[in-house]
Amino acid sequence: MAISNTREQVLVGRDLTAANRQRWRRSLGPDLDGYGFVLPAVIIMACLVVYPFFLAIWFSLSDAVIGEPGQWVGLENFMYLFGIMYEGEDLPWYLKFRGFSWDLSLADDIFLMTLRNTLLFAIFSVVLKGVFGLGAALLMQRATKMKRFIRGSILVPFVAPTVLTTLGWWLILDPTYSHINWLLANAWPLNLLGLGPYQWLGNPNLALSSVIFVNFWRGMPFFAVTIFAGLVAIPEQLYEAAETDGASTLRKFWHVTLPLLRPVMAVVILFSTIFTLADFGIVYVLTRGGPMNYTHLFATYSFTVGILNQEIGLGAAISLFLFPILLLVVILQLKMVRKETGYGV
Amino acid sequence: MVTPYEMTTRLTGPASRRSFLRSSMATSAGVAGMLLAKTPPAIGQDRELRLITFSHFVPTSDAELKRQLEEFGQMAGVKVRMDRVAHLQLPAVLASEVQGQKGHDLTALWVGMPDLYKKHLINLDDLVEKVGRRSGGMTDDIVGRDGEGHYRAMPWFFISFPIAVRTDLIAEIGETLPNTWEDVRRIGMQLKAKGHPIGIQLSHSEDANHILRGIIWSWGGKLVEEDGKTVAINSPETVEAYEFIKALFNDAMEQEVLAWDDRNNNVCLNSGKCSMILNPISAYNSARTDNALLPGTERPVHQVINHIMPPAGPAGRHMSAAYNTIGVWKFSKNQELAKEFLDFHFQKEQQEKHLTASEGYNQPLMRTFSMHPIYASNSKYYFAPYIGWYTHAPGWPGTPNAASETVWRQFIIPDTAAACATDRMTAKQAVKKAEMQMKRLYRRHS
Amino acid sequence: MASSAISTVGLGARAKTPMWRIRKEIVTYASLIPYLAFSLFPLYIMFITSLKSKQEINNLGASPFWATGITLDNYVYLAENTHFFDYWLLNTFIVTVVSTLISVAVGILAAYALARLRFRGVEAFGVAVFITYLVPQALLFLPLINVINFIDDFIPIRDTYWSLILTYPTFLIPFVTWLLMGYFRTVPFEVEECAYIDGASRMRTLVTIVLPMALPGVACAVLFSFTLCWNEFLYTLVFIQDEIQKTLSVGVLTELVRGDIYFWGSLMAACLVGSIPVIVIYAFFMDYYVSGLTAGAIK
Repeated sequence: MAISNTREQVLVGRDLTAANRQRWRRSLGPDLDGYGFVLPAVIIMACLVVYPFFLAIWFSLSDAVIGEPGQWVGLENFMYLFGIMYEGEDLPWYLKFRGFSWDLSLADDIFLMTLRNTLLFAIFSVVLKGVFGLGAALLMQRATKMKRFIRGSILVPFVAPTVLTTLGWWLILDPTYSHINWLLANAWPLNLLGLGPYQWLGNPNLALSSVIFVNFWRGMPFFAVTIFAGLVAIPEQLYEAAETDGASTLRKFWHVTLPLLRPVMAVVILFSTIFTLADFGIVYVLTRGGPMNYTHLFATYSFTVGILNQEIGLGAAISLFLFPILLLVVILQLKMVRKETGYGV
Repeated sequence: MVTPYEMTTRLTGPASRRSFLRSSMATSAGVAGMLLAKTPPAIGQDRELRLITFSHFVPTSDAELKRQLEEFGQMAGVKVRMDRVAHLQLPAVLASEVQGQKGHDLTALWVGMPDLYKKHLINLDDLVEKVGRRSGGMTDDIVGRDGEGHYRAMPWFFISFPIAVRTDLIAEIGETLPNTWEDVRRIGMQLKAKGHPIGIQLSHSEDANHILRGIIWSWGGKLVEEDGKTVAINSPETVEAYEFIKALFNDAMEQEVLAWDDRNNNVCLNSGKCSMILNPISAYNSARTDNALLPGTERPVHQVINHIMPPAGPAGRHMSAAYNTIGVWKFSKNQELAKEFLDFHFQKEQQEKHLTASEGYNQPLMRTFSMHPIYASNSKYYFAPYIGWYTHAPGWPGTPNAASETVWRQFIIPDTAAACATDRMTAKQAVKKAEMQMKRLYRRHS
Repeated sequence: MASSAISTVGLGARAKTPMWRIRKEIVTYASLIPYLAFSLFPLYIMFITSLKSKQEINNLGASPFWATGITLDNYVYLAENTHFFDYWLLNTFIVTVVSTLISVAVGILAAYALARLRFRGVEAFGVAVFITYLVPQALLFLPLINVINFIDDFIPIRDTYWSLILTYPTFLIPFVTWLLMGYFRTVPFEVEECAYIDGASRMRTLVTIVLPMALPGVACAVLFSFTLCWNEFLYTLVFIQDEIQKTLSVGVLTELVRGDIYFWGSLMAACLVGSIPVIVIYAFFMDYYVSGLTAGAIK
């Protein structure tokens, strides 16, 4: 905003308002129609994302249940999740401080499981997607015949409706039908190994692995295609230059391909992390959080609490935990992208 | 404006006169009486009575409900619409309707929901009283009530959990049908050795919640006191029940039950693998409609399945059941009409048709209807009229309420039982953990 | 897998004999086989299962990888007993197309402003777009119910697929904006400048000069939005109860999962039929997608 100047006021006198307006206008920048361009997006995002988002924050700070607005309760929902209470009744003195008591054994243990699961889930599946997506991209670049078929097939998991393909995986991993166990038991030469039957969805660690695997299956193509796009963009001259310097294949990959892929990788990892952390459908269909809550993710647990148990307040508090984690990831990623390429967002 | 007289004539129009007369004779108060007594609603073709229910396990049951709704709509001169959602998605849909205070007029509700949504459901005390009186009373006292004891929903039907058992396998090893849980374990042990384990879920599934509660009750344990507020799960009886569940799992079941959902036990039985499951008659019915065959033979599975009462434990025979209720939203603009529909639907004739259409799957809470001819039509349904004596709603012995519903939704009993069965915890620790979790939830909801 | 591919990057000029080329091809395609198998395996299972009779599906001894008695009953059931072909497929298509169009149109405008125009708050807007992308759907759908009901008081959209058309752009616009912004920056500014000098309006320049040059980016945004819409589940689950307004995923789950009975054959048939349209579209526009990502996502 322009700050009015006394001498100018005296001098310009009656043109004051017009001048101010002009200065103010100039301070908005040369392209005023830009506001018109972003207006539709701003309206839609404000009504359908920003407003609901603040409503969700309000929910998390209230004892709202479905159908009732609820009362302000401050941080009680968050305290509840971690087992912090106002003056626990029968706790030893060292757990009581300043009117609060904190006993982690009174925390919502399903929530703590959720926290653990989500982190494991996101880290493992993003790493897997990254590694194998890079591999697929390199192969796609080299495969010149049947190009369309190969690219199309690799993309299939990403484009087919998630919930429906997850149902297909369910059939494959199902404890009763389990196609994999059938293979292990009946298909030569696998049957000679005497493996299985494995409880793909029944054993806690295997179940989490299965869920990670299905997410990996679904998300890998996004990595593959985006990295592939990045590979295509690397100028051929760089490789030629490296070759004339007598660089080996591995060195070329390490010193030319990877550094140039870094920004693409950063962006794709960022997006994938967002998708993965907020994943709902896979767990909702495959395990419903079981066995023994070893596969609950933020989205599914907040759905259970917020919708099935009607406690929107607590449900919103749970899914809000996702937000700082995502924000952290984004900040790290953006720092990386900016530093590498100078491109910003 | 339609006068009461016109309303009656419309109701007893040529299309429905006979059936209507019969039903109004059969019942002490029919729709006509009710409509005559009250000022009729402002009727126009633009009004629509809307009902939402879950996709029934037996499609013909939905069709019959829809037919009744349409018949009622014709009589009352309003449009009707019936929507369905998948069984597991009903809670989400109801939540969205209540949150928006908009949606259907009539809604199917599960057992804890009348209390959960008590502020949003109209009081049906008078209707339940009336229907109950003309139908010989209810077999259950707590279903449909909220915490204060008012009916927030009409008790509709329940889906019970008998044992579905392979009679041929039991005969092969020279045993008789099991009567107690110890029998189940003994027989299950022998049959598991022959490759026919028994199947009871220990997982995030509705069936697990029902059956494991049944086992705890049969050992004399209980989740809460009668007040529905005091957590009482930590008792020697419950610990014993958990010990039994562990023994049953190790002796007579396979690991896969840890991942089962509601459908896996049906598949296990119908594929000829499982010897016993605790399940509604849907397993038997689908074996019959799909004509599932015993592996390697031409013999239909359904011929060798029979249903028997849930087994007894040291403290008697108790089992949980899926009680369904139907209520009217407060935000509905057609409350009276919705109540009239309920009155219509709960007449003997309509009820019997509905029960018939469900192929014996639905079981009535009204005493008069429980001796329905369909249960006599198939010897495998013989248990149905009597199983109501042994079944309780999940909150038992308290009323089902928000806290008990939360305990249910977070699968606290199945999870702790599974932890105990897989040696992650001792029975004592598992029960202690369940107690802590339940106390936390009950404290939150008090 | 990556290492086998790396070895084929090129061994220097001396190695580029015909023999070497053939070996390279073999290694490449051999390494691709596991990838393709991995990607297509569930689809194959769906296909086989959809051709099986109920008895065969429930016969645990039979091979799950091959059908002995091929039957089309599952598809017939889908056509006769559900609204799959007459409503759900169509609804999904309408919702997907309309919300994609809306999002891409709004996204183009916003992205152009972000990439080219200088006005106060443009950076803040860029950051805001990005942050809105972080808000998970699972957090939004409950408050969104309130919003939809508010709108419903004026225009009846509740319980119709219009509520989806309204809400899907929330998760599409940020991505589309971000992708296109990157793409617009790659389009040389000089051409636009000429247009301005010739007196063309901003809108006219955008439509006639910039968009044609940014076509791959737009195609990529369209495809991406299309996929996300086609796959959406949570909003439909919560917002739509009317049977004939449902989209594929939710309709299929409602109708073919009945308590403890699953119509596996028909479910898998529905999965397959529901996946095919998107796959076909990708097969045609794949190259656009890749080149759009090349310029857009990276910059």
